[in-house]
Formats: sequence, C-alpha cells, structure tokens
Amino acid sequence: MSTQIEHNELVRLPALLIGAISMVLCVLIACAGGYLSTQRGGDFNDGLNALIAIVPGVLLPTIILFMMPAKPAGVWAVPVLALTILRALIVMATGLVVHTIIGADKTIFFMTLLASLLVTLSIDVASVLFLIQKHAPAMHAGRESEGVC
Amino acid sequence: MAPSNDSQNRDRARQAKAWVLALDPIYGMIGFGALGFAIDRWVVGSGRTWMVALGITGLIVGFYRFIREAMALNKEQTRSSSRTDGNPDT
Repeated sequence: MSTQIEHNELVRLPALLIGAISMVLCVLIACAGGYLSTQRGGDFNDGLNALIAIVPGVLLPTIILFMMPAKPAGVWAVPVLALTILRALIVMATGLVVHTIIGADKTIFFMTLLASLLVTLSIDVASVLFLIQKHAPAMHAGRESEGVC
Repeated sequence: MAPSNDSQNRDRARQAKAWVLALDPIYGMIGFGALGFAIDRWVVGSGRTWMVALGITGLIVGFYRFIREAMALNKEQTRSSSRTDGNPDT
C-alpha cells in the first residue's frame, strides 16, 4: 500500500537529458533554417548563426536545473517555468546582439530562434508533466488509505 | 580570390566575437562555480554554499560584461549610422 510519504518523495529532474535533447533539436532546427536560407538565395550560415544565441540559452538553465536539489515532482513546475522565461530573455537579448555583429538574414535568424524556443518550451513542459505523472501527488495516497480507490 | 578570402576572414572574426560575447555568462558561471566547488570540497569540507554563491556571482559578472559589450556595440553602430548624425545619445 502506498503512503503519503512515498507519493511526496523527492525527485531530481533529468536536467542533462533534457538539455541534451533540447540541444540536438535546436541544432536540427538551425540546420533547417540554414537550408531555408539557401532556398531564399542566402547563406547556410544564417541558420547556424542562431546557435550562437541558442547554445547559452539552453546551457544556462540546464546547469542551474542540474545544480538544484531534489524536490517533490509538482514543485519542479515553478523553477522550470522560471528558467524557461530566463531562457527566452537570454536567447532574445543575445540574438539581438549577435544579429547586430554578424548581420545575418533577419527573417531566417529570428524565426530559427523562435522555433527553437518553442521546441525547448515543449520539452520542458513535457518533462515536468512526465515527472508529475510518474510520481503521482499525495491526494491519491490519501484516497487509497481511506479506501476510496 | 583575395577579396573573397578577406571577406571570409572578416565573417569568421565576427562569428568568433559573437561566440565570445554570448558565452561570457556561461564561462563566468562555470569558472566561479568551479572555484566555489573547490572551496567547498577542500577548504570547508562540506555543503554547496560557496559553489552556489560564486556561481551566481560569475553569472552576474558574465551578464554585466555582456551588457557592457552590447551597449558599446550599440554606441558604435549608432555613431556610424547616418540616421542619428553620429550622436550615440540620439
């Protein structure tokens, strides 16, 4: 029989796995951006240059999440959401500076950034939902102990 | 052939500058965090206080450098722009 303590167990978010998946998908999106750029008569590097802004934006929250101590599954939603917002700010701020330095195709560059942010947001949400589903909240344990289930 | 090589070199130099600028906060955080980890491990002996404190310090220093560079770049761009008559405060 499960107890409330078991259901409120402290878990760690697989931060490195999430970071690695995000990074691979962002590289694929950057390559797709580069391909689209060549189709528009531009340079393949226009898409890849977006990685300069995306890489720190993915690395930084991953490192911070990795350093965080274990928490109950539901509590992870708050830091993950906060770091997703931080990532969006970092990527957009860095992207603006990088675009000023390099002068890449504006449409391709910023669409690649936004697509990458959307994909990483989806991965973050999915990871927290998966974690909550795997470690069900204490409400179920209470019902089970009362014989409701 | 020579102008093409020159243009490629200029592109690489700009890319390198952009990478350095973008990764400044990461380097700061990892460098200071590693220093904090060493202090926690070999000086204090337990805990993660120094690692977290110095990691955050590195992050702030990195962002400070990033913002300073970005503002310098913005001024440089404004100075060379014809729309602002070369006045960076415009």
